[in-house]
Amino acid sequence: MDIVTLIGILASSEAPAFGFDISIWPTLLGGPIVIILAILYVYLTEWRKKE
Amino acid sequence: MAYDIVSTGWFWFAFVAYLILLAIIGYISHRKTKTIIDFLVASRGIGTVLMGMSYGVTYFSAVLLVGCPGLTWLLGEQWLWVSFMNTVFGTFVAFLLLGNRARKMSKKLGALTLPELIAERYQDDKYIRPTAGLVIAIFQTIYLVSIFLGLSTLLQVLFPGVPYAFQIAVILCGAITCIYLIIGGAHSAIMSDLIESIIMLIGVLGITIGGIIYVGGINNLNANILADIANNVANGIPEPYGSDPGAWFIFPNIMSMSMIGMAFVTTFGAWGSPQMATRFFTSKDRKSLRYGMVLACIWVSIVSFCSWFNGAIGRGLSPTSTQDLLNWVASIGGDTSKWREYVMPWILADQNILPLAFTALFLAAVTAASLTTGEKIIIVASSAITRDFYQKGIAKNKDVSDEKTLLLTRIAIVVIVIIAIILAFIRPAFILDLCMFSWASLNAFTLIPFVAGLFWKGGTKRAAFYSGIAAMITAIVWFFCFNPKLTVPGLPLLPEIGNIVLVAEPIKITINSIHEFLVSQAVAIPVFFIISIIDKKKPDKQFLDDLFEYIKEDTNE
Repeated sequence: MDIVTLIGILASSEAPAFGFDISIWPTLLGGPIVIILAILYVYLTEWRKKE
Repeated sequence: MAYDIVSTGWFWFAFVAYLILLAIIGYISHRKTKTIIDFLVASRGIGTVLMGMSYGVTYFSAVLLVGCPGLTWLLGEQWLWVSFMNTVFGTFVAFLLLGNRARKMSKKLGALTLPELIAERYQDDKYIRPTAGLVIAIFQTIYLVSIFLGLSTLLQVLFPGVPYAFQIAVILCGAITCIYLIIGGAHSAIMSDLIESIIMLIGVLGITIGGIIYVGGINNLNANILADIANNVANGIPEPYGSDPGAWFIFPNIMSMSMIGMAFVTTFGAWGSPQMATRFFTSKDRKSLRYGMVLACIWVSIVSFCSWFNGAIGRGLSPTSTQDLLNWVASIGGDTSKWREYVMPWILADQNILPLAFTALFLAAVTAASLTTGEKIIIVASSAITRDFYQKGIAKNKDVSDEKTLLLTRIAIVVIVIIAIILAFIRPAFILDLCMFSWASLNAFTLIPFVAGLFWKGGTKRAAFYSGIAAMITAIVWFFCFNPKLTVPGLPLLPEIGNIVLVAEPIKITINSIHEFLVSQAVAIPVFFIISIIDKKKPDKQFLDDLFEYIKEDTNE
């Protein structure tokens, strides 16, 4: 499945078939996004500085 | 067939193993604890792993594992937004905005407690510290009562029909916590957090994954939830989405106001919470704080998401799950009106979604971890009364030594635990009501002076004091006047003040759906800034310039 089809499904009424309604999806994605942002922040402020 | 958990060796193995670990941690902590700085802020030497995990466990105590799922079960998957807010703003943004500034300011000012930081920051030597100390001591003790009471559900499930199980457990809990904290202080509390955090992480993930596998996937889970809603409607069980079962999966819906209030309170309220703020004080250096932030984000995102989602797991286990749960609660002699508290124990003890050994290990570990989950609250409450109210407050002219204060803090720990145990036993109605909002009213007092004090030089001591008092009084008045359970006869209440039409049915905004914490902050913010602007007694400019230059410096010290 390509990403466009996936986004289309998520934004449509078929989304509950994936387990979450579109209005709930961001709650599942919020955690991973925050973790990536936190790692990026540490990389920019600590690791890269060290180099 | 329900599990008979306490008759398995696994249960007692896990329980005794936890106590042995506590004893070892207590011994190690005792060797590190010599001064009041060691006792209250763990020598300001906490590294990455302990920092990250301790922040997470302070945010989500083991008792919350029992409390979270029931709300999702009843009011729908929208409660996952609470988890989202807690992860994004309560953890990530809190570390970014407050973490290093709070750490450096507490170090520069020599502050060991939140009231001490606020008082030193605003150069107040009279009112803020003793008042905040007293407020914190009272409300934290009440909050501790609610933690003890939270144990009762777990014990009822594990030891049904055993007389005095709750009383024995609470005394045991109090005694272990007292000994453990007296010998090791903050070092003990933070090290036990690490064990508690691992137990919680494995447990909630186990329930989520085990539950999805058990029902055969998310689609079956959702089908069961819809069938359960229909079954409740057919059998006359109160069901908020009876007319529109699909709303259970959607945000926003007609029941969203309570969730929005909870999301804001548990997210921004935590910023002003003394036990959360002092996590930053304990950090060794900037690097530990930043690396700890990554760990805290990982832990909070998983544990909070799974904790709330496990309500959906429970409800989707069968097409008649609500009826099954109510029958089971009645069968163990539980209070069916409080069925929401039994969701997690029911999933584990009656639904057999996980192997018996895992279930027994996890329930024993959660019970044991719940025994020590109040430890940071006890440290905050005892230091508030001895350090803030007594040493730096009413007895500041007597030059009380740190050694004497440390001894008094240890005595205060025993006294506070005894008071909390007595209150948990006699359960006076007003204490139970206060438990419901003690956390919110306490944080209402400290939030604005603390956060504004980290960023704005213009705040004055009068503004800090009066905004705190105004916020607390507002929270108390709002709670007691507009709580539907505490309706005062003759008081004219407005049951509904408006609607927001976003979905087919409007979200009803009622007076009692607006959380007292939000109202208190709506009062505190203007009070703080207006008084600061009109107050002619401004803080010392040189002091503030030096302080802010120091906290802005990007050094690792």
